[in-house]
Amino acid sequence: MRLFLLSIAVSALSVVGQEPSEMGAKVFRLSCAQGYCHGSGGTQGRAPKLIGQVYDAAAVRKIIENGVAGTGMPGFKERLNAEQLTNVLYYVVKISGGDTAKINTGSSSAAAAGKAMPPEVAKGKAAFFEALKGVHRCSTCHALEDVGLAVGPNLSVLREFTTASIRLGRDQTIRQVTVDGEVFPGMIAEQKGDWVKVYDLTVAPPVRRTFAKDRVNVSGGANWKHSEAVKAYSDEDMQSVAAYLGWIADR
Amino acid sequence: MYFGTCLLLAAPLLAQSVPSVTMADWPHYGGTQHALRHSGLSQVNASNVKKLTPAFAFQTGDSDGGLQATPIVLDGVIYLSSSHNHIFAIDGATGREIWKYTYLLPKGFTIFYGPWNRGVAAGHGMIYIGTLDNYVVAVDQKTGREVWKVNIEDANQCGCNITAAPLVVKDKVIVGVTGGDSAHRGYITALNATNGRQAWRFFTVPGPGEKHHDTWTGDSWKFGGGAAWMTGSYDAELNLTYWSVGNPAADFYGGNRKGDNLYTDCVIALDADTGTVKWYFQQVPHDVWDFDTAYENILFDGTVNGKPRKLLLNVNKGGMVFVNDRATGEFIAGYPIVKNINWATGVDAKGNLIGRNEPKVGETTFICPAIGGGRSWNQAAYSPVSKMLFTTAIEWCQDVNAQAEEPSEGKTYFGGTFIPKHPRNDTAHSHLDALDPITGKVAWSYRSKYPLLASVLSTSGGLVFSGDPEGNFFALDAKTGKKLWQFQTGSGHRGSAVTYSISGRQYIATPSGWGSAVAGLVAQIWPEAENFRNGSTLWVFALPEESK
Repeated sequence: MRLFLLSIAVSALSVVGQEPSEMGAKVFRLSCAQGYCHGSGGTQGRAPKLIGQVYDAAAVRKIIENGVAGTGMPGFKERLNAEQLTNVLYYVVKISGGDTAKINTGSSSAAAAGKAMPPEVAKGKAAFFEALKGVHRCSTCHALEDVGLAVGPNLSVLREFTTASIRLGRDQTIRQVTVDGEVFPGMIAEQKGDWVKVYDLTVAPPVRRTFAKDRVNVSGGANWKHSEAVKAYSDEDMQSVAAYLGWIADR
Repeated sequence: MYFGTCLLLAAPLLAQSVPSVTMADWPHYGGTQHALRHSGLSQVNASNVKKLTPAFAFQTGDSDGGLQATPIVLDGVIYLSSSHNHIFAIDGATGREIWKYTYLLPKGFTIFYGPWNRGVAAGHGMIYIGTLDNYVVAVDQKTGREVWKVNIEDANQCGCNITAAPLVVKDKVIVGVTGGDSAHRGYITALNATNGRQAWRFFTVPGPGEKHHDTWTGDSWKFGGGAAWMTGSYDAELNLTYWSVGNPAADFYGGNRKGDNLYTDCVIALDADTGTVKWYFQQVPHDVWDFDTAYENILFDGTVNGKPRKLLLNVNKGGMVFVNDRATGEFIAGYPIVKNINWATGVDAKGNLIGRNEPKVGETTFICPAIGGGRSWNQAAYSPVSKMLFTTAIEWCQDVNAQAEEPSEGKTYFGGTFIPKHPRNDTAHSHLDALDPITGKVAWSYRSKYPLLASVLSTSGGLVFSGDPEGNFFALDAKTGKKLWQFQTGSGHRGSAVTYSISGRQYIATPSGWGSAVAGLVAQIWPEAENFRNGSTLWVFALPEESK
């Protein structure tokens, strides 16, 4: 089985006269040796030295694909295609002094493929996260696909968005918060013991403020409108965003 | 001593005057908001520094990434941040922990650059910190309890975060972000210090319709870098806050961003209330070396052609010093602090770079200094007593391979690779120099085998303190550069020493703790540096009680 896979690996990955590790060297140069990371040829930068570490192929594949939580090592399964991943794996295992014969070509996770996104949905996704809208983008208050801040409702479980319904939002869930005479629109984030954490929505981005419970008074009818928060979006933008939200909910 | 007394007498008479030097407290990252890193304390001086002895050591317990912070000291309490954004309040006389704020990063969060933090800011009864996941957090100064927390931009999207200490200016707390090596458009943000609400945001790369947008081609401005990744300064009399803006992205490849790329590699003066630009000075137009203008802005008063001037001095990563008039931005002087420099031959009378030596795409170009900098971000000191600048410098070079690259939002956007090298006719080394700040004339030079990556502290006791990668914390005679004292702290130095006094006793505190982005580069030239041990300890020294 291993031999069979290996023969596929060699035939599928070799361009005329090039070993997988040679093609991997190019991927490495562009993705791993960059900047302050692993250094040219894996010599060491701010990230660990790779030369002479004798890495196990399966373990390295996992790290390259998923990254290492709590460190600067990101996952590359979304950034590189399957062939690039395997080639760079060859290269890293080779320079580390590990055994490249143990490499199989299949990705250890199914995520590499991914479902293609219709153009309108892609447009909506771009608008949802659009950096040029600054703090007035949707992701300032809503997280989707692990990006953005989960302050407002989780939109992935809601359905049937329209331009109008997005603009309208759910203003009734925003409360009027009074603390020692200061009044602002807010949302309760957390209550624990004698303390309460409140999102202050006076201006974007929301600020999570912590108060002693007995100082805080929460009532209805805050002076806050979702339509104001999303006014950087044109109707056309909003239709695309609705398409994106629908696509997320259908997944 | 003389200077300290003079200040005390002058203070009540000149209500407008803001002292530039520190005394009992170390209230800001750079000492005062003028960032001189000079203390008026003189109990520890050239004649008795030999007797300096440890008062206590404080272990943070987290040595990952070392200890890079500048401690803040107020009313005898030290506020120290460690890696991973934890904050400690420590009794400055005994080392007792008063409180600890433990920061929780989201599960599975990828840390850009590294886990370090370079310090906190204090004001309005709160301690402020910028975080690895790009929040600013305010905690109660007395209890360490969180007061507010606000996200600057989702770190997962922007590829940026905050490692520098915030700057408190009047009713605001001001922060920049990292991300100059990512496809990201940089900015400086001011928050209301009391409640965290955003007051203003200044984009370091102008958008469509804004002045100087035409210094970028196509869509390059959207991912133009320009990270203000270190702490700014503030002049209360001019109400201007000074920030340094880092390199444009991609670092080594400028083919996508033809033009000067304002305001990257600029010193900018912003109105502290509104965030609007009063003046800017670009040190490196169209940077293709990653030679950020990102470091501290030292605000000092000097004499130029016989006239007193309010000045600003900035050392950049390319190993050049630029001096400007801080009221107008007018160029005053520019000179190198390293001998091995070939990316430019110098500056003309107006401060324009001359003799540019750009990395060529598809070729190997030998560039000095190396990307770690002719100096790193560790800060210099300026003594208003001797009118001297004390700065570290590193003599090292690199082979650069520039490559064309397309941006992808929030992802690394570097445009090339590099390999650190010894200079052609020299052995890589480092030095700490005393310079005339206007002419750059060197009065003395202290040589170090390994790169000096710790900040410099200057005192009115005629002393200059710093530390080296081997763990030695040392005091030099400010007049001669002669080493008068040293102490082995057990781990290399990458933070910033400070001094303060409690009940008439002067203390000198230094972080000790190797491990940073540049530490990895050091090992490429000095392989033995790979075995330099990490650490995370605040060492505090004083004269023995009987001899003070």
